Amino acid sequence: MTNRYLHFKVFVVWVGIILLPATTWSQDSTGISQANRLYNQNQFREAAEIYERVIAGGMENGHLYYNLGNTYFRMGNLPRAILNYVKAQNLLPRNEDVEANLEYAVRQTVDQMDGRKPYALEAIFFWIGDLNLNEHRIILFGINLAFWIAMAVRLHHQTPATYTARNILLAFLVLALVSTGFRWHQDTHQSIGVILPQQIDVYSGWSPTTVVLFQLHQGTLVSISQEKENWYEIELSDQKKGWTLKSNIAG
Amino acid sequence: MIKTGKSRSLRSRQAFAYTTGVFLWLPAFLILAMGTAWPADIQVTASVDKQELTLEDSVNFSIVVEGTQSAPPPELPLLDSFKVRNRGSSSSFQIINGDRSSSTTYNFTLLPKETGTFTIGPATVNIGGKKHRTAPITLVVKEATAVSDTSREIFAEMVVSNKKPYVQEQITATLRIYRRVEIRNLKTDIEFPGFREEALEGPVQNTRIINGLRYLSYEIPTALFPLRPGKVDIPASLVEFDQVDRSRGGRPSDPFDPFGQGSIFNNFGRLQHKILRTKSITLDIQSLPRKNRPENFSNLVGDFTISAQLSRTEVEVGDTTTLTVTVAGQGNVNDLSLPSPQWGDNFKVYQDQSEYRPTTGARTVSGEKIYTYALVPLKTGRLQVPAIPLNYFNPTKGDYVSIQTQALPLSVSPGKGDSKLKIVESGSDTTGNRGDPIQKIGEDILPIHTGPEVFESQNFATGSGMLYGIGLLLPAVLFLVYSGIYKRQHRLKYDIAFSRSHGAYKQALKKLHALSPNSDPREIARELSLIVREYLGNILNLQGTAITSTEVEEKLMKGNFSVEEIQATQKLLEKYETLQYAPTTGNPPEELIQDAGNLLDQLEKQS
Repeated sequence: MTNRYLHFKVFVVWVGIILLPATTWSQDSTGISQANRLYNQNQFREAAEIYERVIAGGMENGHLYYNLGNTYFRMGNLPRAILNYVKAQNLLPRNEDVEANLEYAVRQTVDQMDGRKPYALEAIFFWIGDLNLNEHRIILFGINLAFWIAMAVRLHHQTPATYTARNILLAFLVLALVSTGFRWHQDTHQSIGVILPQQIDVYSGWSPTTVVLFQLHQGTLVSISQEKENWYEIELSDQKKGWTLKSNIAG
Repeated sequence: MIKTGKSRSLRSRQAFAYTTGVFLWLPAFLILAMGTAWPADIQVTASVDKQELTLEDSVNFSIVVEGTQSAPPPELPLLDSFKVRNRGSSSSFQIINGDRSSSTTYNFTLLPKETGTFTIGPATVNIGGKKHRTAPITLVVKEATAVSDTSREIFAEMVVSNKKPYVQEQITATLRIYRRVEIRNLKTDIEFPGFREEALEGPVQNTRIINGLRYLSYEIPTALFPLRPGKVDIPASLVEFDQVDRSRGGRPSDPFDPFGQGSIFNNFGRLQHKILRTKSITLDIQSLPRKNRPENFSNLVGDFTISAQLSRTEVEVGDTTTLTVTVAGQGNVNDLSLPSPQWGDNFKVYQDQSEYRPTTGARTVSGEKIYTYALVPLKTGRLQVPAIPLNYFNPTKGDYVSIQTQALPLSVSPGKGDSKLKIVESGSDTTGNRGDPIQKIGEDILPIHTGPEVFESQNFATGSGMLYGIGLLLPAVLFLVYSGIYKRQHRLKYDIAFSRSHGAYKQALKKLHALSPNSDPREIARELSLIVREYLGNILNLQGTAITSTEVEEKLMKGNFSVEEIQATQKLLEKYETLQYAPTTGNPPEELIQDAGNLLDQLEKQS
């Protein structure tokens, strides 16, 4: 009898483990559909709340950020719109809708500038930005598997063709490893921010008594290079850098 | 007391330990002490290196925070009459006679903007929630000593091309720095309030002879467009630099070396920071005359031409042709806002965004502004694209000028079937050139994504780093395992010695177990001898089973078997030989089989 109950409990736990993600996804999906409907009925504030709730629940999806960006744009909140378009672009790097809306939103700002500092290595590893991290990983796993299969095949057939194939796959494997590493570093260590106030002063140091180097306006995208107390050091694509209060930046 | 060798050794060890302890703990103590601040001991003072200065001087303003090395930057007082340059901070820590002291110094350079007596209010430093203030300091700023420019080794002047320009007339303001000495780290601070600025080609370097002296001039031109009539001041510009003083050694250098660094041997010399200030200039900006001012005048001042061109002169009804209107010339062409032409009711017109193409020179700003219109004829026949007028003020003539394009003929034929109006169309002209661009009427964001299939989570954080590591390493591990198995199989197939030794033990044991203890002992001895010899032949890769005891010894010695095992093997083999030919064995068969099994076990362990 005891064993029968034990088996039943194990069965229930397994069913729970299997069905839990599906249930969560179903809830998210319902929420997103509702938010989409509200958006189409011009109830942008309510739609934004639901999108934000789904994201806070742990869902990472480029289309979701894109829709949230559109919602903030309609609400007139340009910085939040741009920030969400950037997040969407990170997950959907080749999506033309995201690119078009981000470009359009940036054009609505005073500075009309995407000040994000380009990743230095993108000049060499030009494909890094065209793939998201997951795609990089899938390619890395695929090439890694192909390389070790080629190694195994070469045990049986030590011909010039298998030698060339193995070496080519090795070269691709190194490239995939390096580019995945860079993309991971870019996603986890490169912080992007958007200017929130209408206009901010950017100082030469982390104090308002230091010299004002330049001014930026609402919605301008910047790279955050370091932080100190309640100040961020920001960098622009044209090498300009300076300090501003954290409260001026959404990121 | 007699000092023994042992006690001396102990003392020296103690002294060593003490010294080592001091050297180990002292830096740690210093590091701890450096970061410690005692709010009660904190003092904040401000000082200047001089209290009287001229407009061509700067004053070093220092704020010293004593009692801590980790003070936040001070909040400076309002310094409207000075330009403030931050020169960084420095920290120090000292221990003198056991008293430790630490301090942080923040350095600023103040550049006066005007003459007068000024009080630098208290600077504030907030440490641990308590605000520490410095005492106020008084500074007296006087005019610079009147020295004739031409007797100086270095001087600067601001020159404008016209001191009585019209509003929006382009003038050129040039900052000229003349020098007969070597300078470095040149910085300028130029402001033109009340003007729109455009950069000109430059800076330009020349040599000029002034009062018989040869100067190297460095000229920074800026195009200015006055924004309002009346008296407008161009304030004094600041020129900062470091003058190289080689009187204290080093080789004399050529002041006309454009970079001031002629050769690597000339880099020695003392740098002396200096400031020059140009005189402010007052301009009398004139209003544009009211007399003869055209109705649709749009503040265009300069000298201009206007031209128009159609991309296609023969079209069908509903087709599009592009009218390109170009206004070119010298002046504020970028400010032009071309009034909308009178199109009549012959066309539907869509205007594109205008484009400005500057062609900036060293003294003047010129360029062209291009307007494009997509014209869709609404009627057939020979139509006229109306002339487009342009009015501007020519400051040289002091009067307004009206010019216009020529009216352009356009032949419009009826459509070949579909004569519906094509509001927005991309086509190509008869010459095969690039067609009219699609005219953009409005812009908006693209709609939201709604397909349920796109909303699956793309969360990359679900897998841990270890999982990704395992995923990457698994194929390598599988390969290594497979490679090991493959190589073993390959060796078994092609390496006879390895193949024989690999199965030797199992084969021998199998045969050993197949022996019946009830058989004839002599027969058992013969079988056992055969099994052991066969086993030895397999592990030593020997042909046949007729191995002598001496051969066994020799081969086993080469196989690194121990002497005990070799002797045991020899002894057992000799025993089997004896038993085969003895009338009676005396040994139970089970014991013989057991002995053989034990020997095989020991040999296998060592093989």
